[in-house]
Amino acid sequence: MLKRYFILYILILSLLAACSNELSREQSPSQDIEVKHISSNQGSSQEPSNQAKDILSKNEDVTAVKAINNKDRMIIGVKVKHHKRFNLEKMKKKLTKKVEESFPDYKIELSTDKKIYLEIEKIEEKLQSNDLKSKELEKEIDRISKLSKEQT
Amino acid sequence: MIFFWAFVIGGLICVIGQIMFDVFKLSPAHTLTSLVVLGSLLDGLGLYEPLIDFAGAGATVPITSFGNSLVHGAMLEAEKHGIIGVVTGMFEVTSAGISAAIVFGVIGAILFKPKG
Amino acid sequence: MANNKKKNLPPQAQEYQAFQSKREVKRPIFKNCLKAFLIGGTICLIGQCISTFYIYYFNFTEQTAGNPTTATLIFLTMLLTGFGIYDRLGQFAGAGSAVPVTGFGNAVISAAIEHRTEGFILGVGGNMLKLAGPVIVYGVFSAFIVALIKTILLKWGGF
Repeated sequence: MLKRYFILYILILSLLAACSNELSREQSPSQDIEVKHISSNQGSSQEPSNQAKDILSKNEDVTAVKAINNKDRMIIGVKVKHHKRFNLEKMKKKLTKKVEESFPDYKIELSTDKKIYLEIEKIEEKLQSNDLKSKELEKEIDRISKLSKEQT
Repeated sequence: MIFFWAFVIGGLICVIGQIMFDVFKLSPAHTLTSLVVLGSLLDGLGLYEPLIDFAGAGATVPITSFGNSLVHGAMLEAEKHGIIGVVTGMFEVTSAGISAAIVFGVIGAILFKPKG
Repeated sequence: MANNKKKNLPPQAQEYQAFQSKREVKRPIFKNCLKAFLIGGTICLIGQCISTFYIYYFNFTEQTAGNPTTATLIFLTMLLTGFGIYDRLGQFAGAGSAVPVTGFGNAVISAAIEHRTEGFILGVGGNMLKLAGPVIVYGVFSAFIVALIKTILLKWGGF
């Protein structure tokens, strides 16, 4: 009886493994990734962020990028190809440097964390629908920056 | 993808433990202790964090990650307060495993009846 | 009985018996490793699901989600240990159930439950950390040595 469940379990696992491999292959063809340009008519222009997103999307290891900025700070969330996650620290430094070259006046904070990416995505959507005043944007950037530095 | 690698890497670490059981004939206490020490060593060499980035829970769930967290706590504190931080900072980053085990151990002892 | 048979056989057959018995031991190890791989991998997969859940629905990042994940897994271990399911899993999976943090939790919780009859202070409190003790002691000590060496190297070598 147990043996039957065991075999069934192994079959389901191999099916899941096959599906997940198929999915990831479909999602990462060698074409340009979609980058959303944010235009907000309140507070700081998101043009620097849009440009940073374009710069980073040219990197072939980046699969998704979101960014927001105010006058002197920029917070970027990237997703990289999974097999590159082994050298995540190096990737982060490389990508941060690239953006810093184009924006020497900005304080750049780049994160590969999924949560940071999700939070930036939410703020981007709020900006796009002009729901966010510049003071609130400041607060949000502070909050996300603090979140990315948490250790426990 | 991370789910796949969490499964594979977690499974492989358990296979290492199983080989310690079967081939080297170590007891569970010896095996777990060796694995924790291995986790500390790997983090000292800077190899465990990339594994966590790659495999997620596959590297944080096995007991090896306990050794990794202890070294991290010690290093963080040593950066701030010098060499004494190596002793004082160890449990700053990790307490979840031990605290949870003790708390739920006592709760379990209250709720459950011992089985023969 | 098999040993008696061995002595009555011609030397070549005895050699073969020895050869066969040497080979036969290998099979359980492979099966055990496979079982350990599957169960250990599953526990880690469940951990990854819990971790992802905490990242999406709570204010945890990938860095900080490890703690609530561990606590949740040990809570589930308490339920499985209390109802005796974890022990059966342990018999089947060996290291697959002992190596993840759930195995650590099971060791502590099952010791606590078993020794309840001896009283809470000495029984539960005194015996809880029988397996966990060496793990914590040598985990801390090895982390101390590693961090010490690393800190000294950083201060003197500058890398």
